[in-house]
Amino acid sequence: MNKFLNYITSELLLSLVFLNYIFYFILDTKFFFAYFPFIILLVFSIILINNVKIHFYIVLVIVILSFISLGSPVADWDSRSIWLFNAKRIFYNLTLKEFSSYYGSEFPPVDYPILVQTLSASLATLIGHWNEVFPKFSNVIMALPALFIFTNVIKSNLTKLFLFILIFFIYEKRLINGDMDALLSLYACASLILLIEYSNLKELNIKHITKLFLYLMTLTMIKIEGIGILACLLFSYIIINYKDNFKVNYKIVLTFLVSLIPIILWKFYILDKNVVSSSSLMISGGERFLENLVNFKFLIALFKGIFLNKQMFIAIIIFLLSISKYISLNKKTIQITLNKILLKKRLLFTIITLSTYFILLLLIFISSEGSLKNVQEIQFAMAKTAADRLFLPVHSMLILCAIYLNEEKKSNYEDKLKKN
Amino acid sequence: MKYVKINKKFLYSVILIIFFIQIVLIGHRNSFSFSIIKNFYKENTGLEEGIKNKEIYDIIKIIKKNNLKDFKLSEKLLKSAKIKHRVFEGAYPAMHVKKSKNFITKIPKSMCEIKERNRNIYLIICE
Repeated sequence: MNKFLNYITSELLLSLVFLNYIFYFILDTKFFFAYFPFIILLVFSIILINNVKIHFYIVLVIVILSFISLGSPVADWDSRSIWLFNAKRIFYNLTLKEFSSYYGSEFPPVDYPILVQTLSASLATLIGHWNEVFPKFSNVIMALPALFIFTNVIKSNLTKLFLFILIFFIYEKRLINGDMDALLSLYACASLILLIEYSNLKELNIKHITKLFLYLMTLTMIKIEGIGILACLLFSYIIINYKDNFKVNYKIVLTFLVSLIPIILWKFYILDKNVVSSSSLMISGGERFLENLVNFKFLIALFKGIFLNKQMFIAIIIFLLSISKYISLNKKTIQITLNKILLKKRLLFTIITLSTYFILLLLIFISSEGSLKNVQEIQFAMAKTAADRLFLPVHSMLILCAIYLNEEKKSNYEDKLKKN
Repeated sequence: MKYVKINKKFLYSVILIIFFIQIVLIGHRNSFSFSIIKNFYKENTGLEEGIKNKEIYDIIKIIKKNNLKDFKLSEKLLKSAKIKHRVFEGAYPAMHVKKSKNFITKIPKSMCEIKERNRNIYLIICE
């Protein structure tokens, strides 16, 4: 029995979600929607029960999120009009072709990836009808595998507290209201943690490769920004390992490329159906880039949108408090000394990834503002309304840095104790 | 410099209270209700609580009650982006069709038959 339970892991859950999507996408049938959600919910419950003792704090988080999710409707604009509307159309339409030929409104963008939305539609199939509560439970199911990856790095109570702050104070309701931004951030961190772990291994087996593939593929299939994060992860991986005598593992690079296949296939399918990509409409040819770059009012609005919000404030405060232990200032000679811990591979890896993604997002914001796709009634709509949620992966990676910094301190302390 | 030691139990209690308040706040902001959790598997649960706007809810209710496959909103209603999007996604699979005879309006046309009225929203059939 125990041997059987060992096979019921987060990776199995992710594989089932992926199969649920791939059967719908390739076979163009919703036949499996009646079976997959039952198996997925069963695996989800077994994982929770299995981990009650070992990772009680993760189980507690999932139970709280499940409770709020099942007791609240979908109310927010993006969740209702984009994500769950796509899921609703998958549920009501008979074929994928019908799904991609919606003409009723400019909303929702049909080119958005539908991995989580197929899960929502199959959850609705399980109860036999659509409602505004149960389909969005897919977010909680999807959050579970990513949260379990955090257990690889979290050892102390303080870092557990950081994870709680990330979920309840930074993500707030975004993890349960049907929105994809918090989920994307969780998978960005989970992929980063796995990549750091695997880049330290001498030999990667098929289990490692499959696990990395599942997380990277999910990252790109949650939201289109996932491709940007994946590019930043690959860039950081190459930079870090180039510094380290160019020890790039070709298996990892290959996994990156293979994990892009599902999203590329989806994009090709959408192009084939003559659907104009919403991201291409937003960014256009970059003609607004220079115009926005010299618009001082816009730059102020963008700065406000990115930095003057609760999420960024909490993330920066936690990061600064954690890093301050490793920076000392000699008042007499006015010399700043950095602890060598700050140059450790996993910290540099996280900092490079978050910096490159930050720059990438900044460029996208400057290029996109003023596009016809944005709400024209509000001036600088994107900077004012979307900056806080689109920068969630940056906030999450700042918290991950803080977790690493505090765990470094703990492991160093333990090493010293051992030596003594 | 004198330091005051904070009792661990006190510190944990404060953290616990802060988190409890935050979780209650998340639930409140997400319109959490025990009546929804009891009926989370039933059809159309959460529609009224999710939409919030009474006018939009009345339109969707009329469409769903009459099992309409298509409908047409009056120009005045269509002008509001909020009404347009919320009704389009809330009423789905019923679709907005420009030539539909099921006309939804606030001011009924005299030559059309009023099929149903929900507060100030009318469903009229214009053959």
